[in-house]
Amino acid sequence: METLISIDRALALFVNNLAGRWGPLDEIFKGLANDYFLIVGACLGLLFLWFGAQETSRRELDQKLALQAAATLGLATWLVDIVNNFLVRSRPFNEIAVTTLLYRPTDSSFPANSAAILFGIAVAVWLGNRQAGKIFLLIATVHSIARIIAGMHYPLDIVGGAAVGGLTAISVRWLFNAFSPVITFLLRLARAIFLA
Amino acid sequence: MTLTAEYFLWALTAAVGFIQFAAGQGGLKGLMFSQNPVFNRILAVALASPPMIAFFTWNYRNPVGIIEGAQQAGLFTLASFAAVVLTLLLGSAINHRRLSTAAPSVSCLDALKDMTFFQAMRSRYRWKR
Repeated sequence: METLISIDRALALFVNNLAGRWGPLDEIFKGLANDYFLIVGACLGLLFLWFGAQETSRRELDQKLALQAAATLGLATWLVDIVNNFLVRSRPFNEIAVTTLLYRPTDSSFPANSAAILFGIAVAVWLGNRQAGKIFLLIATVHSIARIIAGMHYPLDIVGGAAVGGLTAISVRWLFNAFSPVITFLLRLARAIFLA
Repeated sequence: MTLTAEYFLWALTAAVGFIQFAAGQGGLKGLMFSQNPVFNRILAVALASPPMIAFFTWNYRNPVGIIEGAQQAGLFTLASFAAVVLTLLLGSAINHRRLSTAAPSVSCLDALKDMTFFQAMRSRYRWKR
């Protein structure tokens, strides 16, 4: 465990080397790592998924995936919150000499909440729509790397967050299949008022 | 303006832009603000770009201003619903005379390929009676 943490710290320092070298590049990393740009972008992507398909069958599938991704988002956030009650890990800026680009959060570093959300959304979509899923996975990866560069997380926090998000997405998909009649009924209701 | 109000307004504008782009992609004429596909895309980009720039530069403009995750989720959900309602209202008002008022052949979002939301709702109601 000690070795793993040492490697994690060394890796965080190595990746964080990119920060603080050039002002404009720092601003780009700040934009990619903040809590708004890519997270809101991914959520807007789900809205696009809801309305964007031309074929009815494709749209029906995409809408189910958008619902699964939204459920995953909520559940993954809740799970990260629970894990944080039992497992507290300090942020990199509290332990090692990293350059911090954003504000300094006081909550636990492990698992990364934003990674859980973005990888959760990505896996939920990817399981039913590979093409769109790849875009969401790219968003999740870029955001996660930027968070390490910004000195907000260790790489293991991201891996932990991605695992929580991915497993939540798979569980939500299973739950949606188990409660398929309920989901179909809700979608039928939305179709009756031309919203699905 | 408070941070939450700023977040809500940017999310609302971006959501309207994304819905416009998606409506154009899905051929949902009843939701489109312009029936010209090229102009509609330009409009969608024009609506979505400023909010995305605002979100990208959020910490540059508000170095210590953060919105809690749960609050963000609530605000985004509210903004998305508001964007859908706004799109239905504006799309119906703008396309009222341009699109048909015949009874919808399908009872789903596909109906909005040929008619506005309110035309579809009205036709469906009359049609069943």
